[in-house]
Amino acid sequence: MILFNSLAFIFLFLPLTLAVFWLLRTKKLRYAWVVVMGYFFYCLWDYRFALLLLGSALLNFLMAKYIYRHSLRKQKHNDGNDDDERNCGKGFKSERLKSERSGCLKRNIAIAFAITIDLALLGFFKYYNFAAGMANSLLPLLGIGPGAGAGLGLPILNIILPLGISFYTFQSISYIIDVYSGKTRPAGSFLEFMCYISFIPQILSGPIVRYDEMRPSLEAIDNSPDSSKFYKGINLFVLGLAKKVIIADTISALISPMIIGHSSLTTITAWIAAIGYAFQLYFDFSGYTDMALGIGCFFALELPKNFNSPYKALNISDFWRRWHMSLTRWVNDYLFLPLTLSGKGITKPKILIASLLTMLILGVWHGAGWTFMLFGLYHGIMLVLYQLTKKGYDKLPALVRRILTFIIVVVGFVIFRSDSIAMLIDLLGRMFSFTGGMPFFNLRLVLLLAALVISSILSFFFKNTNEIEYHFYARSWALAIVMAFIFVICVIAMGRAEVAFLYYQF
Amino acid sequence: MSITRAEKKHEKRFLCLFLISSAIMILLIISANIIINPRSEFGTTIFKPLIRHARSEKIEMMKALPERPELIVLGSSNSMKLNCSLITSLTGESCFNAAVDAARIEDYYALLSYIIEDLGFKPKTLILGLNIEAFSDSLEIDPRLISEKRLYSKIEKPILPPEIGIIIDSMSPYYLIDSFTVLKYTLVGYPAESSHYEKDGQGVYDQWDSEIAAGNFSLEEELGASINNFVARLRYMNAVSHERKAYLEKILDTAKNGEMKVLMFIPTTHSSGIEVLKKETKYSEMRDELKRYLEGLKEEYDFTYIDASEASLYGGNPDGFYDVSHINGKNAEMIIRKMIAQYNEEHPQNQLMPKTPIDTSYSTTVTRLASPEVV
Repeated sequence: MILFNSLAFIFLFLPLTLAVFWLLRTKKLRYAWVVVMGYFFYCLWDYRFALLLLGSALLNFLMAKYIYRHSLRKQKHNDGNDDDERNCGKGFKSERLKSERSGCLKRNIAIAFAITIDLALLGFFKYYNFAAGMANSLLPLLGIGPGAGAGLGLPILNIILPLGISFYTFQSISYIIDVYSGKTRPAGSFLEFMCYISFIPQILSGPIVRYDEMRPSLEAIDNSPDSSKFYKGINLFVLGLAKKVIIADTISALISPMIIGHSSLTTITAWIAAIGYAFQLYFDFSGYTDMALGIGCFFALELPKNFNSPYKALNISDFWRRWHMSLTRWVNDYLFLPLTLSGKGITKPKILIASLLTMLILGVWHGAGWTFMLFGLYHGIMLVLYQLTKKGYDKLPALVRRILTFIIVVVGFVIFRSDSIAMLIDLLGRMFSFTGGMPFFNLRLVLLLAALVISSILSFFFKNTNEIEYHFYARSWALAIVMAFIFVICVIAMGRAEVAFLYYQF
Repeated sequence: MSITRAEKKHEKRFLCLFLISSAIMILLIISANIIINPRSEFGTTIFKPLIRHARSEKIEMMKALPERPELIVLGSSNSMKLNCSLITSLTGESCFNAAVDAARIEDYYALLSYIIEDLGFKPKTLILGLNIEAFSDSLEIDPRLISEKRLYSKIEKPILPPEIGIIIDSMSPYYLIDSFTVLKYTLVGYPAESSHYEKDGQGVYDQWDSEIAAGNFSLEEELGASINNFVARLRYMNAVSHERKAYLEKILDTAKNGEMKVLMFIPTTHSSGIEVLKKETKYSEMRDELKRYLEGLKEEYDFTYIDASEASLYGGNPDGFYDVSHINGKNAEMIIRKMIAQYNEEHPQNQLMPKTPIDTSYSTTVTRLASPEVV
């Protein structure tokens, strides 16, 4: 497997892929090349799971086509094109009632089938062992199964989690729901759809792109190279690389021993480690996203932004609008809104329950484990508390709200980082027990504090990479040299060791 | 938003400048590393490197020998303590210890080929210290072998020039620090050498020996300092490399054709190192695979080998070490004695025997080596 932050990717894979891409002239050839290289990139990790990716893509493409074919009524699209409506709602005209009902049923079956298969695959690879372990240990206690304590005997399998499965499954589900609900048309060809699913920059860790966000770029894939896209791409890629290899990996090297040896942390060092992890996670994942967006620009395929200075958030709701935005949008559109809009009217208790449930699912999306569940539940509770205290809370000074939100987020990431409940209890116990006195200031701690100060300044006071206007035309020569310098520093820093992106594991 | 022609021009200028500046900066760094050559990997000699080039040094030492040695020791740095005076006293054959740092099997082959073909030596006996990592399927050819052209010419070249790998590896913060350290030492003077080679090629660890003599040597500290580097060599090893097996077979073919006696041993690792290796690497499987392979080879070739991978296997001192992989003289002596005894037992008609019944010529060296005991 080659990572974005590897010399092989930067100096070999990417230039070669781009060179051939821009040499090819037709839409079909460019689609095919992006797909071939996307699969090759994926196969460098494990070729066996490329078939799963292909199978999943084929299923969703065919089902979306089928659903679209059985749409009957006309409606206005988001893109302004008249087309068949796909809503299976009220108002069928009486003369067409029978055939429409039949089409509606077929579409409902098709979407249910596709989503069930998608979720079943995700469930099996990601959650089976956790669920089996839980069933084996918990159900006998409730008197279910062959004798208390004996367990149900569900086998624990040696399952490898296919890389990127959480991302491409959610992407596929969004595609099929959007086609069903009429928000988008299905992809013109299987090649185009595969290009959307297996596009190199987002195949492993997102962003979770909706088809209608990427369609304009995909349809214009045969355009000539655009220097402004390369301009933006280089800036995004270099800044993302710097976030990852200079900031995140440095913090990681300094805090990992502290987190592994958490039993010896004092209150102060526990907080330092927790804040360090929050910054590591942000710079790691947002660095990855910037690089992905930058690579997308090189192919003239624009991806949506995924971070918007999350640590500048004033409340927890604001935080989730700024952190992993593509996932938040997904759970908002496909979970929270349907839950809130279901039944009669929108009531406050319904919103609160929907928030709690949505965040729980968002937590579990990250992985099978009690700590991920708790992470989701914790954020759900924080969202509910915010909704309940909103009037008073929003009157607090902005600085206080920002600090409070950051503390809530840091505690949330402690839950997220903990390998077990025991580790979580120990870490939180240390953070809130106010014991241990001042830490011994060695070089490592000084370096870590310096890294945290720099990270804080960058996170709280600087514009993020998406906000920066990439048009310093008057000083393009100076910017080019500065970017080249940062790039070379990154290349040297990469010589320490290749550290995988944290979100690869999800 | 429409982009004007002027803006396009700026963007293109940015792209060109970015690419050119990056290329120039990278080339400058690579050039500086090649010129300074802090790790003896590029063959340039303008500055004195931080790491000695054992391969070049041993070649020069062999060229300066007054007489051709009859017994050659080949191995990595953990075979450097094999004492040639002792070996000569036990075998009656003049000896040179040609072990070099971080040796892989191709190093052994290259050195043996050079010794026979270029120096014209006709050794009667070979002693090989077979490190497990010397057969690694993940470690590259050591850069110091590549930079020593007299030896590198003896082995098969990989498809991609290995110099590319060395240059890529030099793009690291640690390498740059080493280059700066060389510049600093050039200005303020180098510290005293921590080790040297005797005329017979045996390694002497001056710094450790003086610390032992002064009573301030801490084996625990040295184990802690050396364990990570040592474990790293085996971390990605998944099998005994076929290419490296082929090199060993070529050595054995050469020995067979030259009617040389061959004695081998698996060098010793400190128990704390083995413990970590067993947890973090496939050490046990690799050692077993290597032993199975050697057993298999015995059907075709005539050689003696002992497993000395743990001190207990030859009655050595479990703490007779300088660090995790470097044994002291006493343990080295026990390995030599056990190996020769086993050879003589297996070859009653062709024994290795001293020229005189009691040869004490090695005794002074042994005394000197034995005194700084690391216990």
